[in-house]
Amino acid sequence: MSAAVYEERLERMWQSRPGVLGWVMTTDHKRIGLLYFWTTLVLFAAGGAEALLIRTQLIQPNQHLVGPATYDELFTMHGVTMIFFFIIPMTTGAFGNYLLPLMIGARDMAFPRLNALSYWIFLGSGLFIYTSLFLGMAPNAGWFDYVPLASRQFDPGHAIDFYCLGIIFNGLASTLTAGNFIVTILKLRAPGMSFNRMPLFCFAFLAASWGLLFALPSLSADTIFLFLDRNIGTHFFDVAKGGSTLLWQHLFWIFGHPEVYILIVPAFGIATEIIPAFTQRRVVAFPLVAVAELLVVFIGFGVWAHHMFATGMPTVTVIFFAAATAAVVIPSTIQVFAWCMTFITGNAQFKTPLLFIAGFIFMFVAGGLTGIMFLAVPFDQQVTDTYFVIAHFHYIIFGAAVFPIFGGMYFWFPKVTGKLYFELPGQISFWIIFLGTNLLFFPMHLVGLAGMPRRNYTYPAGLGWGADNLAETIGSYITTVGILLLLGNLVVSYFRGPPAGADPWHGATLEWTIPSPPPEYNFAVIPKVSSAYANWDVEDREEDRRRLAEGVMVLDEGHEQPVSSPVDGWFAEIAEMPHDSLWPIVLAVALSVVFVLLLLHLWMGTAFALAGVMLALLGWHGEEPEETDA
Amino acid sequence: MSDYAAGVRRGGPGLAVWGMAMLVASEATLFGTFIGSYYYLRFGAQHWPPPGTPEPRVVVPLILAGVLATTSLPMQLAAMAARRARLWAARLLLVWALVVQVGYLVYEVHDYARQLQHSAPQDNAYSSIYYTLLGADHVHVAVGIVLVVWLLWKLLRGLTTYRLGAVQVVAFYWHAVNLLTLVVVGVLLSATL
Amino acid sequence: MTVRRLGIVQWIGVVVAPLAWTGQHIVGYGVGQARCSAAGAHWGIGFDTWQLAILAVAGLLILISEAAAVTVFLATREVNYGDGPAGEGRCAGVLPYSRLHFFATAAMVANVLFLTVIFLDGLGSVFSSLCAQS
Repeated sequence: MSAAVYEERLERMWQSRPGVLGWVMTTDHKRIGLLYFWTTLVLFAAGGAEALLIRTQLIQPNQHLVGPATYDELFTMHGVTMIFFFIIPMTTGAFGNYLLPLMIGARDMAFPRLNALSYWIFLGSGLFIYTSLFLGMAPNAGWFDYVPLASRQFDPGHAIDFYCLGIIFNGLASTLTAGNFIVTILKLRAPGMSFNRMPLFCFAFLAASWGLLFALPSLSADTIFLFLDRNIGTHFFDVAKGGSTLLWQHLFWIFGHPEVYILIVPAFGIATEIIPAFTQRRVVAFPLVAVAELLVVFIGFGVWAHHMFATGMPTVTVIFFAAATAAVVIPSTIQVFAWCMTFITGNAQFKTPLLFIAGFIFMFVAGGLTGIMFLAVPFDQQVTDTYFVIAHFHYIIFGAAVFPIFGGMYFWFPKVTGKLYFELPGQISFWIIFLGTNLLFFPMHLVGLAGMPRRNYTYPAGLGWGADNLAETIGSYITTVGILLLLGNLVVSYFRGPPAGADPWHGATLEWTIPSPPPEYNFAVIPKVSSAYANWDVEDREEDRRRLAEGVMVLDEGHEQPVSSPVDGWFAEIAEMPHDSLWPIVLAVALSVVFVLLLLHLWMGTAFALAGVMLALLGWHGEEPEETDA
Repeated sequence: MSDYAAGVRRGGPGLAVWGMAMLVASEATLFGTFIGSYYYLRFGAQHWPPPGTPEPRVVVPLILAGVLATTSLPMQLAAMAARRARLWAARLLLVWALVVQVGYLVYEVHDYARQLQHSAPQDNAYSSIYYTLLGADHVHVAVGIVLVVWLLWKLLRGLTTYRLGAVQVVAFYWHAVNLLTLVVVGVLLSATL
Repeated sequence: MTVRRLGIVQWIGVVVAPLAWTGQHIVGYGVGQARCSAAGAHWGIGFDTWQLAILAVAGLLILISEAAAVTVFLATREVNYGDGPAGEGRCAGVLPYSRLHFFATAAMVANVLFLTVIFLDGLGSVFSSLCAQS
């Protein structure tokens, strides 16, 4: 049989149902990645609109575009949206889902139906929390929702209940995704892909997934305690009855600090794949970059109380966190040096994706320098709750997470769509965004050092803050124009761009070995892997062609996927993967009902809904794979 | 090409166990934060439990936690029997485990209700964390019971590779819950020290 | 050393140091939290003794871990990571030697970082004023 015959058999085996039902029932990681991508863009727009309203309100002193109550909702929803409903789902849900199986030579995730469930839960949680906005009861105590401000006494009504339940609901999606990624990366790598032959992108996503898995429970515990305090009358955070308001902060930041590394580490992964492609050079110090990605998340679990340096903790405890904060800088620095050396010693071609990575490095270093400053407790206590902090984390988040996301959109656009984007508008969009974000966030350092506090809906005249705020607001509008140009470019390119072919960039990793867009089964033959830069191993790619012609490792007798050993990638067995199913969306709907009933305090109804969830789970596991031998 | 030696085709029990490991890791971390919160509140309290709140009983909860922990034996033996395709042995071992697990849970729910008559989670922070931590453990035991019942129902129709994986996965879950229960009971009883 | 033994030594090199830091971090912070809290102030916690003891144990474990990583690194010197073409006389990324060398290289650098951190916070906590608010 010829290669074409095998490909046709695989196509028939793996194709999705047609139409809308096919999308609703899909378990294909590529379709799920695209669903995440579009949903996340809509939520990004919402978060961006909230930002623009904030910036317009602050354009000059004493403005009254929005009142203080609305302003509180705006900055809370902006933070919640950008973190939980843009960056996490865009990096892990969209980029991770689409690319991870391709980079490791797999045909799907380890748990395809679970992957679909993650998306539908994510969508449900987004609808849940944005319903609060439409009902005029959006969360309003900041994205970190400190008690006692968030307690029933000071924030009656449903706003904080929406926050608690929405966060737990969203956290479920990320937890499931994290577990799925970990098992996929450890067990589904193509035979021969040992850890030292795994692309750095995969190291980054492995690190972020471990981070999500171990950080989210802390936030869940925190919000469970708050929900119980607010609705059942418990006293976890009530000092008068033996509780502690600082307990909220500890549990929150035990999640919250790893979360910020979870935000940027996948973006590091994106950067470490763009750089080799546009410098045509392997990344310098590969083992150190790989371990740095893991270390930054690992050590990041130990720094949480640096968000609490102004709460009066004893110095003898604070010192542990200051030291760990100093340590966590080192892995990031290792990566920055490695990337810069790769640029310098490679043949850098500054196409749009690499421009965004260069911008990312610039902004990440700037944000990182202010980050180091915070580890000095006396300095931190001066700038806590000022715009200096906002400047720091926006340089990091926008610079180190959003810039690589934008670069990644351009970089993998040809692979996903089969079309090339238009280069000149791409480069222009970069420069506009780069200038806009620096104009937006740099003056925040100055105005923060001059004492402007966070989370205040306006500020008085005569303090010298007006000019900086005006510049920031103009910067926000410029940034918006740049982002619109970026998105417009991608849309027009989708319809009018020239064909891209499989490998327009001569990229390093396995996704560039297959057609653009990829077929449903990804790889007709499971690829042979000898290094982390598999697309550059010419002999291995020729071996793949020989094998396809001979039908070796084609695995076309079902939805087949090889499973390997976790460390060295020795071939272990062949697994039969689940395919299209309605159970993920059914289970997600059942879970949504549970959360709505909890919000409405209908406890008996909640119990019944939970029983419904159990039934859906049992129904899900009623689908068994075909048995060939026991 | 030793890298590509032909492997046995399976329904993926290996991956299922890894998936359960992820769930166990997540739940263990959740309980870790509950326990950390318990001690954080404990360190801040001059008297623990606070005056007026009864101390937990020591002997009966410890014995019962030990009895529950013994169900790890029949659960593991059931997984091993299933692996050797000994269906009836697996079923009987699961029933043995189930009887003990249900007995444990029934008693604990009854005891939880009894304790609520003397103190409430709304009394103070001690009671809040006490009832939450203990209740969360009971919920995990209850879910484990549902899983064993489901397994027995599945095994009514015989043993397949998929169902073998299910037995292994549920056994793993129960080992984790048994260990968790021992830890939770130990933490709660540390208030009497 | 056999490949199997090298593998075990490699994992000691990779895993022990991070766990040692984790233990020192949690216990060190916990001892401080207990000592400086309302209840714990009366428990007779010898703060400095605890911190120095934890520091010594963690330090020893990290040094063992580093020695393990260096051992594997030296034993697999001839290997490359499998990320480049085979040079003359080099093992060209052969498994598991290339994986062992990769982990050993990474661990050697990481363990130095962990050692630095535990000395920073261990000594820092001892030399700070006990229970003074920051």
